[in-house]
Amino acid sequence: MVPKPDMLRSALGRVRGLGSAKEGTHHWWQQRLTAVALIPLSIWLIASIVSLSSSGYAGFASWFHNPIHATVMILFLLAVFHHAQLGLQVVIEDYVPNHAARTVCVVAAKFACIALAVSCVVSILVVAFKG
Amino acid sequence: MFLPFDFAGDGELHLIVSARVAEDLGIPRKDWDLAAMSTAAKPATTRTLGTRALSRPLSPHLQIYRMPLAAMLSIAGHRATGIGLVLGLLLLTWWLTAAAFGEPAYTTTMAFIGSWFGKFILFGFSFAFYFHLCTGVRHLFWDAGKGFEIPDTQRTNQIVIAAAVMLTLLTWLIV
Repeated sequence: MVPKPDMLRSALGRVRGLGSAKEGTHHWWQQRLTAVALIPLSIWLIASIVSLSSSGYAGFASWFHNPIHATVMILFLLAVFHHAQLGLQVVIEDYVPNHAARTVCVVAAKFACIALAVSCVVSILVVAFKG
Repeated sequence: MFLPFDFAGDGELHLIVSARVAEDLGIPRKDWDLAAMSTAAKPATTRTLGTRALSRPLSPHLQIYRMPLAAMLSIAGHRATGIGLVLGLLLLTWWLTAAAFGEPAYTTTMAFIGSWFGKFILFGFSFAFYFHLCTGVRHLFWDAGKGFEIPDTQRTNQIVIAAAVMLTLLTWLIV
């Protein structure tokens, strides 16, 4: 007889729904949440880029002096870099067979995404608070 | 489609496929091993090949297997555009940090982005973005358990490609 998966789990294990990876659906769910958030945010960014493409530095600065624009832009940046980091991790885990190289690549991708995200957010804040 | 392959112990790759697939792949008939094919038709039979025993189909190799369009859209489409868009994020970071450094840096960056080469890569990023958006929305529908049947997938393949092309062209018509 093949045991059903639930027969191998404790009551607590069933409640928490966590497998051997100890994280359950956390990664998957974060990827979906950021994906849904990015649908309106990224379309807003495209529209912003289109409207800023010919307005020069003054246009860029005045656009992000508006606190709503700065807020939406920072929300976009947080969502997009989180989403990118999660997606890069999946691709690296699927295609890099060597365990050590895979770990190094995943950590490097995460650090790079965090560094880029912070520099982008700081840049928006600098422009938003300047003059 | 039944496409296992294995090492027969003679140093050559052997492909076990149906006659129709062998014809599709353009393998000349003189290279067909009919005895092996009849064995493949009975996958439960254990066949000793050199030192290895084959009793189950092995994974088809990517270079041999002709992927369906949905698989191409998933790997060449969603994943590759995702990686490409990470490069787009580098460009976005350059743009924003240049603005933080002030007007001269911003003007330099915009001069690059506004050049024909800058516009060319922006066009590429815009298509990659819309493609990733459309295949991503389809992934969300799949997550909800909708659109898994093969006719649905074939229809949404066409929708995803057409929508990505139209959204890209629409954006560049506005610019």
